Amino acid sequence: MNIAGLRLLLRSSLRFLRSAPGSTLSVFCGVAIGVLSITGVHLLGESVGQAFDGMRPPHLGEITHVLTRSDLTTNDYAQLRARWRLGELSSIDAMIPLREGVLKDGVRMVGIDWIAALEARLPVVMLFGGINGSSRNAGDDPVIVEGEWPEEVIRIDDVQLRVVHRLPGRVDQPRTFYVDMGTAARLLGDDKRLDAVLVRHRSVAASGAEFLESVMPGISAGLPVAPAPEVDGWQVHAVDGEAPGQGLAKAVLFNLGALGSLSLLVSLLLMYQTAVIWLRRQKVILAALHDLGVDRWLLGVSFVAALLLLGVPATALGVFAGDGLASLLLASALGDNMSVIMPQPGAAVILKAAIAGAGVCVAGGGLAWWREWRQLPLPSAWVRLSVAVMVVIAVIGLAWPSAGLIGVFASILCICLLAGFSVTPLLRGWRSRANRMGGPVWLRMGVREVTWFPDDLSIACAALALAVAVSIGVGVMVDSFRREFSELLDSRLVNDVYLSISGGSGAQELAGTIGSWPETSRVTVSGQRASRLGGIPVLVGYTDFTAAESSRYGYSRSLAKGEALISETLARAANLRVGQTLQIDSESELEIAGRVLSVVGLFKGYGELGFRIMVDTDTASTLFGSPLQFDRVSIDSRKSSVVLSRLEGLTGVRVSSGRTMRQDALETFDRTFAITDALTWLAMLVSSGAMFNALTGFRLSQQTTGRLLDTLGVDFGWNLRTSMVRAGMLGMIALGIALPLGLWLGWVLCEYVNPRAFGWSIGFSPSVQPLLLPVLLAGLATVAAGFAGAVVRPPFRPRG
Amino acid sequence: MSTELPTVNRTAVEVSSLGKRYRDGTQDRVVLHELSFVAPAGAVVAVCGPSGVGKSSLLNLLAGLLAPDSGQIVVTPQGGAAIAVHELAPAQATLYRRRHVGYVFQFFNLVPTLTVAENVRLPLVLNGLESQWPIACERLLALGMGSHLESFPETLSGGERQRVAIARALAHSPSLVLADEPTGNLDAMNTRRVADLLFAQARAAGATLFIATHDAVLAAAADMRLDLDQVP
Repeated sequence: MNIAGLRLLLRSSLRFLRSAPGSTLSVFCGVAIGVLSITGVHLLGESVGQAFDGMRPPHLGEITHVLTRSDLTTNDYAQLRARWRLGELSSIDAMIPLREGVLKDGVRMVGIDWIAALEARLPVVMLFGGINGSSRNAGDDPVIVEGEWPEEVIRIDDVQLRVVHRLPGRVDQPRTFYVDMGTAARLLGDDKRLDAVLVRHRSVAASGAEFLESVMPGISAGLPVAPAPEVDGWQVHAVDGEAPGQGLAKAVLFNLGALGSLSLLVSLLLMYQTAVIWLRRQKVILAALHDLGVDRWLLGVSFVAALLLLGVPATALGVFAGDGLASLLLASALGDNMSVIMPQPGAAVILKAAIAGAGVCVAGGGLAWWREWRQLPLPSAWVRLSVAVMVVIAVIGLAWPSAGLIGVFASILCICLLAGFSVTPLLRGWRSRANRMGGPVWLRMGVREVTWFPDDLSIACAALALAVAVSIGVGVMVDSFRREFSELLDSRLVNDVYLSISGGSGAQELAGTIGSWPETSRVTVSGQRASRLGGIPVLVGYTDFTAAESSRYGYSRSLAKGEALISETLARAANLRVGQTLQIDSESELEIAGRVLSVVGLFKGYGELGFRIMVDTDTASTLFGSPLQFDRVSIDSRKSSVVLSRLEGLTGVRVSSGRTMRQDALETFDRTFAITDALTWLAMLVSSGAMFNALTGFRLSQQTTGRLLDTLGVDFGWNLRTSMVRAGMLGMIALGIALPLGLWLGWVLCEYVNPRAFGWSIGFSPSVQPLLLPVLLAGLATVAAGFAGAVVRPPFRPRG
Repeated sequence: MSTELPTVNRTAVEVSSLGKRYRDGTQDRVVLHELSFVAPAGAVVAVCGPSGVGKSSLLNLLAGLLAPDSGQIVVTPQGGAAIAVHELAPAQATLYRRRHVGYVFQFFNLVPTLTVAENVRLPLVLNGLESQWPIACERLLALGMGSHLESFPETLSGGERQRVAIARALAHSPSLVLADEPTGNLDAMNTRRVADLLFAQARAAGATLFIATHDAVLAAAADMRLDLDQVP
């Protein structure tokens, strides 16, 4: 390689960049924002991921699947283990029996065989680090309890438990004790019974997903589900069902990651468009250098190297600012409840940012170079083939459910790219019509320039169209979602006051007392129990399901005995439909065999972390025996403020008004989607930069025409009108693409992304309101770029 | 800012003690120094000299595209008051060019996205003189461009483009026509044809023509010759 020549050409390219400070600055900012966006989302993902990892039940660390079967006993486990030892289940490298149940006072007991965990070197063993011979001999069984401090001693029946590790307490979850399996058997009874066998399954797909997850937090939510191990005679399900919060968090992170990548894609388009303009402006010089014998590749490498040199500080700035963006996004999402620690950018995120920044520079600059210097146009067969491939991917991604979230986003990407790249042929197609058009000369000139030079302008137009479309799509989805969520809150929170009683005792007595107050018109009590459905953990809620109560869940009749309403997410996870039956695994200590329930309806549960079944109190009594635990009280009152004031000072009871809960829920909703707003605005900002560069660059590349017009006495007003025509035409085309694309995107987000990511469905109900702001901002960006295009003047250099 | 042109009581094109320099790296490069001359109305003035001597700069100074560092330029349009070009503010200079100046370049004479007819109409539209279009159109026909009125410049030859440029430069009847090496990019036959047309049309319109050229034959055909390399 001719290093000296390369250095000389690189210096020349850098001087050119310095001579175009406006476009250089906007490219710099575009790369920085693209990197900032993915860095911010990555750090946010790491932070949220760590928070959810901290909330993951300790016995599930590194577990991938849960094996269950009816009437599971220790003998079944022994046989399974023997098969595993003989090498029959070679893809499984850890196996731990699980015993769980609910004690009479509502405490959930989870027991695992810690020796098996020790053998498998699972992280849970670290938590039980305090276990040793002396402590066992001393008669204190080790226990991990959420919210308790180490060395505290808890006594249940005749068993004394010593806390060996502290886990953060979780709100609205049954209090859980994690103990050795022997301890669980002593407390729950029936030492032959098991509830599940936890396994760690190793596969290439799972390892790949694990690696990708470390690079892109949340990506695994988008990947097709890794194949589960096949174990004869056992039901196998992924561990995500045991910790649904993590699945939800990963799905959120995946969506945010995709949205964060939008700015990077738009910055790639910005880089490409600007590089095309820069190459056009230098083409005469570069062609002359080539004629003098300079290799074409050397010219290309020096050009791309100059862009890379520009990209290095931009990437560094993006990483630096990404840290701040992540904190801002998290603060906007969590508000005053912020307790998540933001990690510092590590090697992985810096590497990711460097690859992204360099990728934008090399891909954008390289593509522009290839396009400007290629000898022959791209064969039309290739173009047609590429379009066909993208259409096929788009169709399969949506139509094939197994393609998962990544399929939907591949479909979105393909459709967006097809829409974006339709701008150039569209403009070319209008050329002859523009040539024949009438009207003022400045209008004719502006329109013709756009149709004559689409390569200089169309990609910026496509970038704006994409950013606006995504903004519209997300806006429409959020608007539809908010409407449904608001309706859900209206129907679910019909009561005026809600009480949540810790410990779950005394609810009925309290309800009786409150019911006797003259201010109350109706008081109901409810409770919930953990259980399993085909191995999937579920919460079974119960109350007196009158027709009024059923209507809160969208069902018109009262629930009869044996009838159940199930959450939409459970229906999807367990592949159940209305009219089907389901069998709940009851708790052994209650000595009730599994009961068959009939599903009579589905209800929505946006944001719920688990799967829920709602039954009447009679059904619950049959399932779990009497007396049932009630821990919630709902109060109807026309004087709720009086009721609230009378409830003040009650200990062990959390009192909430229905109105406050509704407001809080909507505020949390709005804060959560502030993140998506911020990411779409960033993309809009970069696309505005692309428009600015395209229009100012166009003016500079057409400097001979500009000089000619100057000599003819064309004034600023004329230039402004012509520039506004160019900008307005590009803006109209961008909006013409963005509006249908954005509505389609909103529909896909409602109909495909939400069901596949979260298991819930959102009715697509577009309205004008979410369109207004993106359209207004696009209009402003267009007007600003048009103004800049009129203001910028090519340097006047007489020849002598 | 007022867009009325400041006037003084002088005649023709009068340049006195004109100076212009450019910043070239860390040094100043003087291209015009103490240049003075008077050109009578309707004269053809050949501006001669080697490359870099300041021919284009002089034309740009006369057009008000550049501001002089020193000296005065006074242009007296036909039937109008004298204009102190050196004192014009940018907006006034634009107005002055639009009304009183026609320009022909060596390259890139035409707006590529406008047809031949639209290019010639452009100065008329800018000056609100669209009623003069029939005259301008006749000139186009006289220049042999009648069959190309709806053609775009990219479909024309170099000689044809320059003929359209001449028609456009004279369309709004300017007092001053500036031609910056208009034949520099043409072959010998087209050079002669374009030069003859330019001289004839300018004289017929009564405009003062300044033509920057290296061509000795062309310079000899002018009424007045201004050798910039011999200016003291």
